Amino acid sequence: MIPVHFSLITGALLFAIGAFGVLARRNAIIIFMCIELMLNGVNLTLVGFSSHLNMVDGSIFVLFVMAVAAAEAAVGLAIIIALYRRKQSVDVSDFNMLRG
Amino acid sequence: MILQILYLLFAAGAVIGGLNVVARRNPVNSAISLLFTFICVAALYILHGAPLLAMIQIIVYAGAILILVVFTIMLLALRAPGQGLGRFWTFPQKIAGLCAALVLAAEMLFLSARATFGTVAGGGMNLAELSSPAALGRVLFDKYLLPFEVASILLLVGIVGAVVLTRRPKGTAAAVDAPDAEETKGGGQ
Repeated sequence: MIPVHFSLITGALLFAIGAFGVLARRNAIIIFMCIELMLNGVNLTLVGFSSHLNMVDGSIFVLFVMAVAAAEAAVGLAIIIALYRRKQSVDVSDFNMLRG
Repeated sequence: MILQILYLLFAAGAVIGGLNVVARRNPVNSAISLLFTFICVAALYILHGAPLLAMIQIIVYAGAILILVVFTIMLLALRAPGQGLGRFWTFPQKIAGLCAALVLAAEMLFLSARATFGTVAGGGMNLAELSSPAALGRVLFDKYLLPFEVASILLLVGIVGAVVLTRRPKGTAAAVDAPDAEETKGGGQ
């Protein structure tokens, strides 16, 4: 039996690494991949609790997170392509059109 | 015991892959590291007794989402690979990001190391019953039927949104989208 703390610590580390990537990187595609990393950390925590509590509800939440992640991937990458058409760049510091 | 050692190995693999995603300059290298992380996380799901979720993780994340990411990287054909984490200490934004992530990690690790978790009385299934797809489907189509239908609508909206966002404006040719079309053609499409 795997202790629940293993999944909590691994999920926390994955989430923190993803958060660091979102804050520190400027390539929009890598920021996108770091968001997927954070979602994986949360999923791992949910699966750990699901197996610890012997309830299947956590696994159902993981399914929904995956569905939302798939929709987010399609729309997010479409947004990156649209931004690239406008500025010929995916560096997020180039997108300052709203600055006065 | 052997399961715990395996768990620690795959967890270390997932974390190292995640660090590699953040640290690499080239987005393609990051994508391959992310693939490694996804597969390690799928192995962790199997060790937790959720083999169906592991298969869905491989199919959806490694199969669909990562292919979309790699496809986008190759579609855009980025010239300059960006600067990665190079010259790290000269950018206040990166140092602030590191501090925020360290605080976040310290909080979460502190809480998860201190917490004690009881078990739910009466919510119990045994492991074989829990990991079977039938149990998952029974709860999914009964208790969570409405969220399931909403998820299908969300996916439909996502498809339509992606098509609308990437559509060219009416009457523009491909040359308007890519002013450096000659250059990219020379690069061999």
